[in-house]
Parts: sequence; structure tokens; C-alpha cells
Amino acid sequence: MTRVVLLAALVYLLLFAGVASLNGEVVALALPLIVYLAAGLWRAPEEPKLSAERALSAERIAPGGTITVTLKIVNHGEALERVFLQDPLPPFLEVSEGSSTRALSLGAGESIEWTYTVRGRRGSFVFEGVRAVAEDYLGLIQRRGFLPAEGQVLVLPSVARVRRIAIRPRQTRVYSGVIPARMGGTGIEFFGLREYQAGDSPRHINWHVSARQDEAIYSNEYEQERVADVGIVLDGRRTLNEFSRGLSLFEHSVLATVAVSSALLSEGNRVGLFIYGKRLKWTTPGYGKYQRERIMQDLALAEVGESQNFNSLIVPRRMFPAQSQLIIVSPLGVDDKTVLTQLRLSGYHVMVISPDPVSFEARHLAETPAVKLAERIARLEREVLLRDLRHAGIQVVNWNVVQPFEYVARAALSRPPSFLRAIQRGRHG
Amino acid sequence: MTRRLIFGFILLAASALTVGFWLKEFIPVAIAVALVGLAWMILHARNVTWISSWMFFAFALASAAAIYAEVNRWLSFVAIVASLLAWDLTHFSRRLSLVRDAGDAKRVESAHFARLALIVGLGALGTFVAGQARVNLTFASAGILAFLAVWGVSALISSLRKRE
Repeated sequence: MTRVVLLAALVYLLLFAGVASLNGEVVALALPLIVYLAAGLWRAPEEPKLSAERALSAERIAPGGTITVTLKIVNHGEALERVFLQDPLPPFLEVSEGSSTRALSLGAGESIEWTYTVRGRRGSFVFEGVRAVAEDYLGLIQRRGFLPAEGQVLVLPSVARVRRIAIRPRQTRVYSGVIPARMGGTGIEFFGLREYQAGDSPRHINWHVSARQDEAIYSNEYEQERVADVGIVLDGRRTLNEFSRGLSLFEHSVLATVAVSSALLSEGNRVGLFIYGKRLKWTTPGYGKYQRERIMQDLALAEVGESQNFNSLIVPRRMFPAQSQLIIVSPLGVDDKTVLTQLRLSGYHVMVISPDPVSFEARHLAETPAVKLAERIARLEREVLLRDLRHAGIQVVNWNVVQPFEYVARAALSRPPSFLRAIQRGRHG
Repeated sequence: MTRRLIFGFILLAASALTVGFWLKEFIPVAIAVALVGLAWMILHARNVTWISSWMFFAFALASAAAIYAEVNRWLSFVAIVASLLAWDLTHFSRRLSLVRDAGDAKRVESAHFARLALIVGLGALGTFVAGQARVNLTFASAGILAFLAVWGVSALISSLRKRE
């Protein structure tokens, strides 16, 4: 029931009752209501003819940074007695200073400038415009309008600084980098011996070996270091990332993805990203700062989604040839073992960085015997899963998110895992 | 401020009618009105704001009934105006809650109160004049006047509805 209809019904009732009973006092009771209605009509607003212009102090910020939004509203029509203006904001942005809503009077031709500051978590938002509702002071008549004023804000994910991620894919690219290429050439690490060839630096001659030979001189050969193709898969499945009471592991996964991709790009590798969440989004592989920016923008938009398992995860061979490196950032589910093992069997070097969902959820639950038992069972299941993956030749980093990722990366990722080192030792031996 | 005023006007409307009916010895009706007023206050405190329209409607009808029960007409006037103000301010406070800027909120509040004061003043004046003027009308002339009143109010309402 609108307010006008309610008032009208009451006025008619009182008038009819008064006239029917020839009682003027009942009719007189309708007078305040009629005056109220007339007051609404007297200053009823016309269609608002407003325009808005938006200016943003920055379009991209780090989490916790602030953006000042300045809006200039101009009234091109008649005077508006009361106008509510609202600049809609997404949930990840919060107003830290000023207000994104205003209520004011605007004279004909008058303009106002209005400023507020927002702070946000990771995300991206396109401002479309300002909603305006003009009304009389009693709020009986409302006129709505939309004032286009576009702008875009990008709040980038948090960055954890990781210096080095040691990967050893079998296949590398032709450009020099820091990843041992399993081929002799120029480098730092000793790779093998070969007969001296014209043009070899005398400093590379292995005099100990050459002294034992009668006719030949031998040179040391070093392992070439090159860049590699790296595909990073960020797992954004809701069932694995979100828990009761609004708890989520996803931000930790995003943080790890940023750290890993930044470290690998800074070493000159060709890095691509696949976000397996609300949308399935490939960031095609690339190099350098430009690629880092693309990855950061896509991670700013990453959201959890409803996919149940990795069955639809298809790694395009054109972008990531077999024997290149895949890094999966995922809390892992029991069903993932098959898909990950198949990737390993296809020739990929697979590394899994797994934020530990068991410790994460248990930390937020009451310490009852039932919870402790459930935690123990879940932990055993997870240990079995991680062990099976390791047995399949997959490098697994189990990350308890209480520890900073930098610390975990330094301990577990700054040099190749023991089994890869053992393979390397065996080859040289 | 607005929230406290809403409780004040509900209390005023309920008290005026309760006292009026009590003085005329309609004790059960007086108690019923007091209980309805109390329910309105409790529901408002629990943010059940949609109830205010129904409560305003009920109090307006109760005010008319009080006239027929020969309750003092000023008590009926106070009851209908106070319930109108409580209903208006409930809607207004909902709109005001959208305004985060304290300066804006204060300005809008002041302007709204000024407008309400004007309405109450004009309404009181009209009621006073209506109470003083004693005109004996035949049924036909009363009918014509009623027709004119209904036509005028209908024109006013249709104009408001068109702009809505």
C-alpha cells in the first residue's frame, strides 16, 4: 500500500462518515490529512535533470590502500527540494572517509562536489553511475533517475615476496635463465667432460683429467641454464575453499599464486595462469612485467565457483608442452589424485602447493572430543592423499596457513626436493 | 532524535485516546487502545516498521470513533495528528538511515520537522475554525458540499498519483 493510497482511503472514509452522520467534527478530523496531502503536491519534484562526473585519485591500489572518489553533480532542471544520491559500491570496498550517499537540496543550475574515500580488499569494480531519488520533504512523491558516471577500480591481491622457486622441468626454452637445462654448455654447475675444442677457454680445461691422458685434453662442461614454461593452476572450487562461518582458504591460495608467479616471472620464465573457479580463465603464457600485470589483474577478479572436481581441467599442449612445469595451488580433494597423477603420467612436472584445509578449519572449531576425532580422521585422509601424490612423483608442499608463505617457500621451494636432487646425483654419478 | 520522537508521538496518540475513552467510561476500549499503542511501540523498537501504516489506519479510525463516543474533539485531533506524525517519521527514519553524512542528515531532519510543524499548525487551525463555525445545512446542500469535497480530494490524489 503506497502512502498516498493509505492517506486517500482515510480521507474518503472520514469524509463519508462525517457527511453520512452529518457530523462536522468527523469531517474536521480529515483536515490534517488533506493538508498533509496538499503539502506533498505543493512541492512535488519534477523529473530530475542531473548530470554527474567522476574523478578517481587512483584506479589500481594494493589491499588496504585508499582511493578518493570525487563526484560533481550538476542540476540542469528545476530546484529539487530533497534529493538522495547514492553511488553503489561492491561489498569488497568500504567507505573509510565521507559517505557514498548524500541527501541534499539542489537549486536550479546549482552544482555540488562530493568526495569520499574507499578502502578495499582484492577485487575489481566498474562504477556505472549514481542513483538519484528526488522527492518532496514528506516523501510522498518520488522521482528516480540514474546519472551515468563511469570509472574503474582494481584492488590487487596481497603480495608475498618469494625470492626463488626451484623447479626442474625436463623441457626448457631456448633463452637463458636460471633453470638447469640438463644440457652441457655455459653455466655455473659442473655437467661433464668433453674433449677440448678450439675456442674453449683455457680456464675450462680440466688439467687433472687431461694429465692422465696421453693424447687428448679435456674441458669441463657446465650445465646450461634456461627459462621454462610454467603453468600455474589456481583451484577456486567452493567446496574445497570455503568453510562454515564464512571462513575461506581462497585468499591464501591467491597469495601463494601471486608469490609463485612473481618469483618465476622475475627469473625470466614464461608463465601462464589458469583460474579454476567461478569462471574458467586462462591467462595465456607470457614473460616479464607485462605478464605479471595481466596475472595480477586476473587474480584480482578471481572468485570461488561451484566446480566439483578437476575433471574439466585440460592443459593445452600448445601452450604447455609435455615435460614443462605445472604448479597447482589447491587445498586438494580426495578425487583430485587421479587427475594429478594423469598429468604426471602425461609428462608434466607437477608441483602442488596445498594450503592445509584440515588445520585451517580445526583452528576455528571448538576443541571437543568429536572435533578432535574428526580432525584426526581428516588429517589421516589428507596424509594418505599427499603420500600417494608424492609416490606418483609429484612435489607436494603442505602449507599450514598459520605460517607465512614466504617462510614456507624459503624452506620447501627454494631448492629442488630431495628426490629430484637424488635423480640429479645419480645422473652425474 | 527522530526515533525518540516516533516513540513520543505513539505514546501521545495512545494516551490521548485512552484518556478520552476512559473519561467517557469506555474502559475496555481505553484498555484496548492502550495495548495497541504499547504493541506499536514494541514492534517499532524491534524494527517492524511495516506495521506503522496499519497502526496509523487503526488510530485514525479510533479517533473518528472517539468523536461518535463524544470524547473531547481536541483529544481525537491530538490522537490522529500524533499517529500521522509517528507514521510519517517512521518512513522518514528509514530514508534517513540511508544518509551516512551527518551534516546532510541534520539538514534533512530540520527541514522535515519544519514542514511537519507547518502541517500540524494548519491542521489545528482548520480544526479550530471548523469547530467554531456553526452552519445548519439541509441534506441536499450537505450532499453537494460532500460531493465537492470528494471531487477536490480526488483531484488532489489523482494529481499526486500521476506524479508518483
